[in-house]
Amino acid sequence: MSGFDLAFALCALFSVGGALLVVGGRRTPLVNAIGLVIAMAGVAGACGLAGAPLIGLLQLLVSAAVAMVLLLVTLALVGTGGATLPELSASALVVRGASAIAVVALVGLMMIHGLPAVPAGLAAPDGLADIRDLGRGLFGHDMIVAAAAGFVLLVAIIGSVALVARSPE
Amino acid sequence: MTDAPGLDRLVALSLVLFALGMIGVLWRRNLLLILMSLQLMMAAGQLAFVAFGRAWAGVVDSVSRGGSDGQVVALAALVVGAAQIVVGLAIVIAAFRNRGSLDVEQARAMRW
Repeated sequence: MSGFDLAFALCALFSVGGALLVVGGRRTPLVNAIGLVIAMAGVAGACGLAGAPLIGLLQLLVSAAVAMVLLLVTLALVGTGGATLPELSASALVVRGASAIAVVALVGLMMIHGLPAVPAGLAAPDGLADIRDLGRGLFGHDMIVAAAAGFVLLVAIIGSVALVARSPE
Repeated sequence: MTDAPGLDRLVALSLVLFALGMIGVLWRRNLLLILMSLQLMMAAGQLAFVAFGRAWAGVVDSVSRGGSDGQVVALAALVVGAAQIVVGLAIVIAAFRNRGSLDVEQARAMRW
């Protein structure tokens, strides 16, 4: 079994396991959020294995942000008094959270310290550096994509603030 | 398309994740969990874009430039996913304030 096979099996295990936790977890949304972080970390690793380390690292960042936001929203909903967290011991939550952090750290370390050799079919064509080429694309012929992405995020932030700031009927 | 030994596995993983996300969207009734399942489907789509973009690199010159096209689309999908979760969570909070529940079965106001 090559390094690529082993790393891919690990990432696939994280992805599918986390996804099953998202879909099947029934005790508290916090556990589902932890599953989502694990799944996205696995997908980030798979992206890195597919020759897109920048996308993978961005996915790791987004997964961490998603986890924080989901945690805050869950706690905010509990704080309104209408919702309650189902019984789940603090130690069980700590174990699940620590395992999610361990998975993210493992994938991050794998991407920082070098990924296994990519199979020939997925390797970049000669003379093209992945991230440099992506940067040229984003600030060149695909500039409109980067600009549109920024605009979409701006509209989303304004829209979400407008939605949340509206007083309840 | 180029010979890509890793492509089949990446696409299979993407397919499994997309299917699991779809099951979550159709099966779960909690708005938060539906949002998480949607995020899962977005991640699966991004993985497919990256894998196919790299596998088709250099094959169609006018479409693919060294495999970065798939990454550009994946980046755009990542941003759309972030925007989706921002707006989605705002809707979750607004829905919970108005109805006191996140059960989508109780949202019957617009049902025909």
